[in-house]
Amino acid sequence: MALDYIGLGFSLVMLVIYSITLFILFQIRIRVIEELSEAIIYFRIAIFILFFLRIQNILAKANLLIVPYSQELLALFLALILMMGFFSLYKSVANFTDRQNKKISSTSRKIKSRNKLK
Amino acid sequence: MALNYISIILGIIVLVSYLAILFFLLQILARIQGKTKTAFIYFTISIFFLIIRRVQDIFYKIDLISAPYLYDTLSIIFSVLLLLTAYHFYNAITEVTDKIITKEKKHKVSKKVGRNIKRFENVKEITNAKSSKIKGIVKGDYLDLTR
Repeated sequence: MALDYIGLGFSLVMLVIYSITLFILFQIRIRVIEELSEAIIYFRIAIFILFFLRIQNILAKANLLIVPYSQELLALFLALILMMGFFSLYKSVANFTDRQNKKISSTSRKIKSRNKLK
Repeated sequence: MALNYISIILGIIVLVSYLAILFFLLQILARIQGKTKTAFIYFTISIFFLIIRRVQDIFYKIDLISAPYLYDTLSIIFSVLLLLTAYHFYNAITEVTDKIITKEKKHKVSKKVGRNIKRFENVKEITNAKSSKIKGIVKGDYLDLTR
């Protein structure tokens, strides 16, 4: 299999983009927002896996590292990590929105009771 | 190219998990508003691209599609969308965190000022007590040593 330069170029561009994404994700202060910290950590791990997946792809294209099913297994691992991240994010968002809805409903009840008294 | 059942099954499992992620994303999108919504819209589109890529990969393994550089092109679109998502998410979160940090700083400053005022009051009380003692001791123009 000859070295595919276009594919290699694509992969290198992707590596650069993933590293920028990882840098941006590491800039987020997770200590301040504790509710989202778990999800953000999962996303960081997911980007790391994407990084490994791309490196493995480059090495496989260059005939340097050929591990059977490694790409599929890494993709599966990535999907699971992403799913866990989104699940925790969904839980935190749902908690937050439920609290806000409760607040709104309690204030509307108070206003209604005041109007009845008047 | 022989039909590789293990990789096809793994590909289908990955596809199902991507669909589950899409479901969670749509649930989150229905609940949020503002700047974070744009980040999640980008994320949804990127997951769509991941799904398309996985489907293309499965079809490639079954020898139904063999488009050159399609996998790489879809991957690069996904990575750009992921970058946009991260940027918008960062922008949305920094607004919130900056507000929290400034609030905490103000709280700390007010606490410090409060402590200093208390210290100052204590010092004032002590000096007043001392001065009253001295006043008590000093009666008129001479020192009352009987006290």
